Amino acid sequence: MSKTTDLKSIERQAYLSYHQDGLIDIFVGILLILLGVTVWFFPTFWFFLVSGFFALFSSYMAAKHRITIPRMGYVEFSAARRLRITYIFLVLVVLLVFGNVLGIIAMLYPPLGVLIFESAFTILIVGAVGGIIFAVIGLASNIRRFYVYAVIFLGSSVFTFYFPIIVVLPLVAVGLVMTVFGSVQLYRFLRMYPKESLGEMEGA
Amino acid sequence: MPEEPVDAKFPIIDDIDRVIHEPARLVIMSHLYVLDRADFLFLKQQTGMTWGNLSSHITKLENAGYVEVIKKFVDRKPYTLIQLTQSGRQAFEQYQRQMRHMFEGI
Repeated sequence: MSKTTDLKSIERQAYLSYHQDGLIDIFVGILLILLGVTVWFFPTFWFFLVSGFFALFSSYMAAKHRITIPRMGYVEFSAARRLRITYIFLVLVVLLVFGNVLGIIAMLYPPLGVLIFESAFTILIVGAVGGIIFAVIGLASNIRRFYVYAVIFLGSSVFTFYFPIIVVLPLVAVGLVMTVFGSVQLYRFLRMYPKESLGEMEGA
Repeated sequence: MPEEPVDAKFPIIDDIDRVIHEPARLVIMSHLYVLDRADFLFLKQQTGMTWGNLSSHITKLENAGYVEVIKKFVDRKPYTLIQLTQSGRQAFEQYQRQMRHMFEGI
């Protein structure tokens, strides 16, 4: 039994070390900050930015190939792990499509838009949904810092509900924390894992 | 009276696969068992071995038919990947069973 647990921890450790570069935090953080800024300054166009998720995702993959793989190596995880990642991705895509549909409805039928986006409880619903998404990502990926992001998102949503000074505070707050944390992680990662020289690898 | 050999007292020990039983190779096999495939660099980072050490152990595992080295292009870049063969997977599972069985009841 303990052997099974050890194998699980080996797999989890391998997966976590592949994500200790902080890139996912930086990319999601930037997306959330951009989303917050757009909602604040250009509220009609926020849902177009949600589509930027796909552009950011391809940039993330490119960064992974340029930064992480030359230092950490290339790995293909087990089918079970890939399935979990696919589920997370699908859930995010469904939520993004849903968000886009809501945005289009709000643009086409302004009274409905007011009902959806300007209700007093909207911020709490957004906070709860966002918090759950972060927690689910943390649970499914074993990247525990996403639980902290869930708490920050939910907490800042509750704060905004009582003190509605800046309605985009939850997005910007969690986005900033993620970007800063991710940048620190990336700095540490680059120092800890310098690029392996090709000569050393070929000598293997 | 001549002393009985250890292997005769504990026949299961004699059956233990010594290719896998060596700690460094056990670590490599464990990683490849839970991952689909990985390149030399990833295994080096995970196991903490030197290039030479890792390379020699992988050669031994390859000679035993437990791992295979394959070339794959990912985004037009070539990668040398190592993965368990079917017999390597079976040998590792057999090794797990034997070790578990050996310590049963202790």
